[in-house]
Formats: sequence, structure tokens, C-alpha cells
Amino acid sequence: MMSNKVAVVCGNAKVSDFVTADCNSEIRLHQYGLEDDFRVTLGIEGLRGSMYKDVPARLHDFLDIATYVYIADQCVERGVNEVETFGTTWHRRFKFVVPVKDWEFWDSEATKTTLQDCLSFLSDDTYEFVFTRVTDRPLFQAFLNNLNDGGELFGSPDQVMLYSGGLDSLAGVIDEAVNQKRRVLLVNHRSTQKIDKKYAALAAQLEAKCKSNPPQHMRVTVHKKKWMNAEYTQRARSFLYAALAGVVAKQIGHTSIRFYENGVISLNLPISAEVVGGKATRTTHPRVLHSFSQLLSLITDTNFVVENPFDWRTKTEVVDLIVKSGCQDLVKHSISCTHTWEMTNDHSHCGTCSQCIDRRFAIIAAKAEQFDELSNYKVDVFTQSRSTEQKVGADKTLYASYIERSNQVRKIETVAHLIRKYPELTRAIPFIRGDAGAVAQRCLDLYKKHAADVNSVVDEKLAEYKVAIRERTIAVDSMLRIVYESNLPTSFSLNNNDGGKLAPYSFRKQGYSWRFRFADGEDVHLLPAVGANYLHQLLLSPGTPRSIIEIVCGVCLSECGEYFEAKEAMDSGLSLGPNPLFKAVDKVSDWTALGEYNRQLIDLRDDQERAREENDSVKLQQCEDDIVFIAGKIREAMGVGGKLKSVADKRKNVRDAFRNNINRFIEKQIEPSSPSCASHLRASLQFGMMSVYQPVDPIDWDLRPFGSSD
Amino acid sequence: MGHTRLGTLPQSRKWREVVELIAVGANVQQVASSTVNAADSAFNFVKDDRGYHQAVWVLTQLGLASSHSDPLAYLRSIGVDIPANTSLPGIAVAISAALSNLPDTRHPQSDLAELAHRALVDAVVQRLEPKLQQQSLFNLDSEHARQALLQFGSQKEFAKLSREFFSRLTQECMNYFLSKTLATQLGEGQRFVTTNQMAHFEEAMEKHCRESSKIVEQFSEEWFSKHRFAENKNISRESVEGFASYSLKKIRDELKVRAKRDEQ
Repeated sequence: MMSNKVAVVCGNAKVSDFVTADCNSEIRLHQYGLEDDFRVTLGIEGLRGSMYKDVPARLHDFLDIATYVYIADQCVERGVNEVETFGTTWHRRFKFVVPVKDWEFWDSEATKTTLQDCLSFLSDDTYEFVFTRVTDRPLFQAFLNNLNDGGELFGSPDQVMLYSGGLDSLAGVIDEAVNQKRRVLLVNHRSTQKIDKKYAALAAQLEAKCKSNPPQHMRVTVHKKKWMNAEYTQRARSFLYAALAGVVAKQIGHTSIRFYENGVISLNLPISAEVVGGKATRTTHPRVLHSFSQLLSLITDTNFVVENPFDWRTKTEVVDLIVKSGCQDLVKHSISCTHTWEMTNDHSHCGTCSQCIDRRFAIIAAKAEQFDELSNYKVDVFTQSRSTEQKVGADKTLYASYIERSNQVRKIETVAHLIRKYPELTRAIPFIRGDAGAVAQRCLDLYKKHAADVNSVVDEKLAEYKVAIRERTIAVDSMLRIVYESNLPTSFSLNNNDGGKLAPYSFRKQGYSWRFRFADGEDVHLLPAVGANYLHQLLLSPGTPRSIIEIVCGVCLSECGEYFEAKEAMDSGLSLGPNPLFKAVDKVSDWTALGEYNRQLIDLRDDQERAREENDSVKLQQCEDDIVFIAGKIREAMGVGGKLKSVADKRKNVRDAFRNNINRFIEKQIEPSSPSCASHLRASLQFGMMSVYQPVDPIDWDLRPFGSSD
Repeated sequence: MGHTRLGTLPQSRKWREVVELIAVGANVQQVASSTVNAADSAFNFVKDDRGYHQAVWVLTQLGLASSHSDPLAYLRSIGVDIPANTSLPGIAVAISAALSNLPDTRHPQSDLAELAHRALVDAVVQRLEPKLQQQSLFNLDSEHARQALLQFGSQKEFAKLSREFFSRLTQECMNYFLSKTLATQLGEGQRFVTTNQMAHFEEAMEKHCRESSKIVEQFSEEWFSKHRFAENKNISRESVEGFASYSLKKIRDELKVRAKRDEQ
């Protein structure tokens, strides 16, 4: 089990083959020098005042490393065949070769270990770093070419914080700037121009709310070539933002930065069994924030703290904070959606991603629906179907899992039960201050609060749409319909042993599939198969030989919905386009037919002998003519050395296809669930142009199709 | 920032059959058997997974600890660092940390390793919880913890712990594959009209996995007894890896043939 290891050679690093000998591929990236396909540019806008001083080499190195990590994270695709490899291809292996100024610091074991651990947990990949000495790097300020300092007076910020423009970070700014009257510097990533207008509107509104201390914005852009956008997950992106915020904080004399994220998302316990490891983002996971703190402490030689003040709040409480601070009019300008590519002028949110679902629930639970218009959502989370969406499976799974998790959390009574249900919690507990038991209890309380919010919203929406649900005027697979217990008789039972157990010896069609039981065995479902239809026809008339051409054409009628007469089939060479049952027809030889001819020949010779004895010249002539005809047929079929010739009569091909289909059905579907039935059928079936089911001991099969009476 | 990535099942014939079986209303035995069949290549791909082997290694060391004069010190020496004064969550955290201390970092982890992590933490908490007084769940001194952990040294208790582990692992594997598709069968006219029906199916599957894992219980008891004696109270990593592979194979075989055997 090996995965590819990628060498990421950065800047002007001179790399010998020895360094990358254990790598399978190599990519090159650089920030300075030529404008070629490997060029990336880190742009920072709106940075003022205090940053106009030399940035120490070590911090400059850190920004370089963070930029290269951010880009490499998007350059190298994760595997797509996750199931076949049990998700192994999700994990990537990187070996970075980065030139740095402060080589002694970066090459130390303590720095490397902290850096590697931090990134590995954050992105679920494996990192290795080789540092070389930088030779020709421009000064930091030389590439801050977007600086926009108009000489405006601005006091030193009290706090540096990461700002995404979503509800959580908006609430963070409001709490800091509006409620506590602090000056904040917001570090924000400008991911797409689409949200620029929204961002500008939100910034203007914020400025209006805190006139004496308007937040200062530092917007970061990373320009990269198209080929670098191979992987969309971007699990390592918060590393770059933490690096930028950390460097800025250090430059203005601070030793802390803040992420604002509600506790439920921060812990991000999986909503579904398939979500393992980093498939749920760990951007603000307690262990990640701890790692950021450790790394920044090492780099800045201080006791640096990266914290999340909302780690014990639910999203509903976050929305509540916004409303109680009198900033509810800002809600509509915030963007939570992760599907930015779906954003249009009419819809700022897709309504299908996990963030949109979470946002909508929180808004309604906080009674703030009037501040977040439904028209902003492309799809209504509660009433619309996902069947028109391209990724219907993932979307449906997402919202079904979201509400089901709340249902399950509601039933959890103890901390032990919570840990058993979500063992991932044990990865977060050691990185949250306090005794493990007490921390676990707080986590349980947090998740209980969130579950209560979600369940109350479901109840509220069910009440609101009760008429539409009863009248079935909202989509059949909408969220409200799939949580409403209507006892509709349209679903299959979960386990067909319950209640409607089949009679012994049943082989009954249900829709396109079959339900089957042999003797005292279990009821099983058999998948649609042509062989099943043929077998069913034979079982219908035990002991009576049936023409397989008639059966094949009959089944064709029921399968294709087209009438296909046996004679017509024969005349047209059994290869008419609409009949899929004859697709497998090919030239084959036929011993059975020859046997039949030989038997007829023997009978004719007996008749011929009798005609001679009886001096019946007419009968004698007829027998001779028939013998000539049959002998001719045998000559046509048999070649040199008694071998069969390939013959033109496609009936034999149909017969072989008929037999093969039944045998395949028995082998693939019946035998795994009922070997005794498979043996019985093999012993009881005789194939030929006239085939028959002839059991030694007759069996009374129930062969009725399922109908409405069932 | 907290988005989640969900995957889909491949479109191979075997996986399409699994989806069709769910859609047509097949019972959990059939779906489980068909899923294990379809997942054969995935299991073969990770048969030497170091994360999974590490989980089984820690499992066996919990059983062996009682053979040492100071079980907590022994566990500490192999990476299970249970503090002197702790709690049930504290023990779970120590087990979890030990699973991350992998001896070989040359190979990446697979999702099986993550599922094994879930399974072992669950199994240990489940077996320990009734053994501890309610009042001491949050305030265990080292003696309480020692006493509770000592019990894993008996063959029967080890076998029960082992069964819990493999039971949850089987269930996690099944859900890992099936949760990619179950919810797509939701809605009126489909296999599951409501999420409640889907939850019932998942519960039935959990029960089926639990029953299927019974086969490991007796095997674990015999294996543990034999190897502890033969290897003088120390079971080698090589033996543990053999145990891990064979146990998983036993359950896979059991899931595959269970419906057939029920009939005979």
C-alpha cells in the first residue's frame, strides 16, 4: 500500500536527485523572478502604518512556506477511487524543499516536527520539509505592491482576527468592535471577485456601526496559474491565513490572533460514517489552534496564542449575538455558502452545502428569519427537492445526515455514550483547557443545545407546512417530507422477514426484481435478470416441454414492450434491432440438433423398411425423399472428421443464450443464497429447443407476481 | 469553514448491485453480504494497514497489561499514557493518543485505520463503563483505573473486548460504504419514505454486524490464551498482525455466508 509522494521544489532551491529520490513526481513553484507557469503571487491590500518596518527574515520565511503549502495543497489532486483503496488515495504525501533565510531555525528538529504535525492533522496529508539556504530573495516590502496607505491616521489595533465574511466571523467583529469598542484588524481572503460587492457592503455597514473605531481590513489575494486549481478541498488554507495574521500581529506587537467559529463546527464531529479524518474540515479544530499557537510561539519567541472565543457557542447563539447587538441588518450581507461558484446576482447561497444548511437552521432557531430572505437561496433547504441537482446523492446524504445526527444526539444521555458515538472527540479533548471529563461534559452540553435547535426548527417547519405535506404539494424528497412519518404504504419493508414472509417455494416478480424463497430458507431479493424471466416461464409449466423461441419472444414482449412473433424472429435471423435478448447470438455448432436428425433418420429407415415389406411404393418414395433431406441436413452440420460445422440456423444460438442466461442466474443469484435450490434446479432442468422443468419430486411453486393485493 | 466532503460509490457492477438490492428492498443480510463482496478489493488493498494493526496491537496490550506488576506503567511504556488521576474520558483520550503513535510512518493511513480508531475507543469505553462506579467516572485515581484495566487480563474479558472492537469495526465498515448511498433512496416511492425508516435499516444492520462478529469472540479467547502462554506474557507484533488479518477475514466470510448458513 503505497501512495505517490510529491516533491514540491520552491523558489530557487537547487535540488539534487538525492533529495527527491523517494518521490514519484515533482512540481516547482516560485514567488520571485520569472512570470512563468510556476509563478505565484501573494498580494496584501490595505495594510497600513505599523507594517512599514522591516519584517524579520524568519517571519518572511514563514510567509513563503505558508504560501507554497497553500498552493501545493491545490496543485495536487486527491484520489478519486476512494472506496477501492479504502480512502488511501485521499491522503497525499508532500516533500517540500524550501529556501529560507533563517536556516538554523527552520532546520531544527523542534521546528520541523511542530510544522509537520500541524499541517498533517490540518489537511490529513503527510508533510516532510527540507530547508536550503536562500540566495536571492527580495525584501518583504518589495512584493507588498498593493499597499494602500493614504496616510490615514489609525490607531494600533487591539486585536488581529481572521475574517471570512460568514456569520461566525461577522459576529466576532461585532462582539469586538461594536460591543467591546475595540479596534480590530481583519485578515480576509479574497477568494473570488463575485463576493467583492457583498464584502464592500458589509465593510461599509460595519464602519457605520462603529464610527469611532472602524475595523481595519487586510485583504489577501493569492494569484496563481490555472493549472494549479486541481484540488478544491483546500484543507491547508487556514495555515496561510494564520501565518499572515500571526506575522501582522507580531509586527504590531501582539501575541495573539483569533478565529471566530461556533463550537459545533469547530469540533466538526462527523455527520456520517463515511466522514473520517479530514473529510470534515479541521480549520478551527482545538488541536489545530493549539498547533498554530505552538508554531507561532516558536517562530516569534513569545507565548503566542491562537484562540477561538466562540468555541462553546452554537451557531444559533452566534446569530443571537448579532441580533442582540443591533446588527441584524448585517446578516443579509454575510456569506456562508461554500459553493461560491454557484453564486449569482439573484442567489448568494446555494442552499445545498453543509454551511447553507447550518446557517438556515441557526437563523430560524434564533428567530431571525426576517433578516435572511429566503430568496437569497437558490434552493429552499426545507421544501425543495435535490433531484434536479447534479450531485443529488451527496446533497441528499448531507441534509439527511444533518437532521439524523441531531436526532441521535438527542438520545445521548452520558459523556461515555457521547464518546462511544463520536470517538473523534478524544482527539480534541486534550487540547481544550480543563479536566478531560469536564471538557467532555461541556462538549455534550454544546451538542445537545445544537440538536435541540435543529429539532425545534424541524418541528416548527413541519407545523408551518402541514397542509402542503398532507396534500403532498411539496417535493417528495424534500427535507420536510422525509422527516414526516406519514405511514404511506409506498415503501418496501426494511426486512422482509417481518410480517410478509413468503410461502415456501416462492419465485415472485416484484416490480423489475424478484422475491424468492426455497423450502425453509430466508426470503431474498433477486435482481432483474433475463435468466430469471426464462426460469420463471419454465417453472410455470413443470413437466411440459416449452419452445424456447416462444419463451424468448414472450419475455421480449414483457421486457421491451414490443410484440415480437416467433416466426418473424426466425425469419429475420433473430437479430432484429429492438430485441436485446438476441444480442449475444453468435455462430455455434449444435450436437443436440444432430442427435435429433439422427433419431429422425433411424425412424425414417424403419419406415422405409416397413414400406418395402408392404410394397407401399408411395410411402417408400416419401421416406427416401425425407432421408435424402435429413442426410443433407446432417452433412450440412457435420464437417471433416465428424466435427460440427458452424451452421446458419440461429435457433441453436438462441438455445445456447437461453441456457446460459438461466445457468448464470442460478450461479450468480440463487446459489449464494440457496445452494440447495441451485442443485435442485440444475437437476430438474433440461435444455434444448424444447426445454423443460422436470423435478423428481413435484414442487408447488408460488409464482404469482406481486400486485396491489400484496 | 466547516464544510464536509461526501463521496459516492463507484459505478462498478458489484457496487451497482448493492445499490439495486437496497432499492428493491432486500434485507440487511443480503445487503451486507453483497457489500462485503463488492468491497473485497478495498479490504485486500489495506490488508497490511499499519493504523488498523496498531489498533489491534493496543487492544492486545490492554489484555497483557494485567500480567505485569504495574499495569499502568506497562501501558505507559507502550504509548498508552493514562494519567495517575483521570476519568473514563481520560482513559479514552489516552487510548486515542496511542493509536496515533504509529511505529512506521512510511505509509499513509487509510480510512480503515480511522474506523479502527473509532472501534477501539468505543469498545474500551463500553467495557469499562459498567465496571466503574458512577461517582468515579469523572474522578478516577490510579488504583481505580488499574483495577478496571486489570479485568481485561482474563481470557473471557479479553474476548468480550475483542468482540466489541470487531463488532463496531464491522458496523463502521458497513456504514462507511452504505452511507454513501442509503440517503439517495429517501423519499416517497423509494426504499425509505422517511429518515426514520432509514434509521431502522441502519439499526438492523448494526444488529446484524454485531451477531456476525460473535464468531470472533471464541477465536479471540483461544488465540489470547495460546499466545500469552507461548510467548511468555508478551505477544509479538507479528503475531498480533496475524490475529488482526485473520479476525477480519473471519468476519468478512461470516457476513458473506451468513444468509446461506441460516438456511441450512
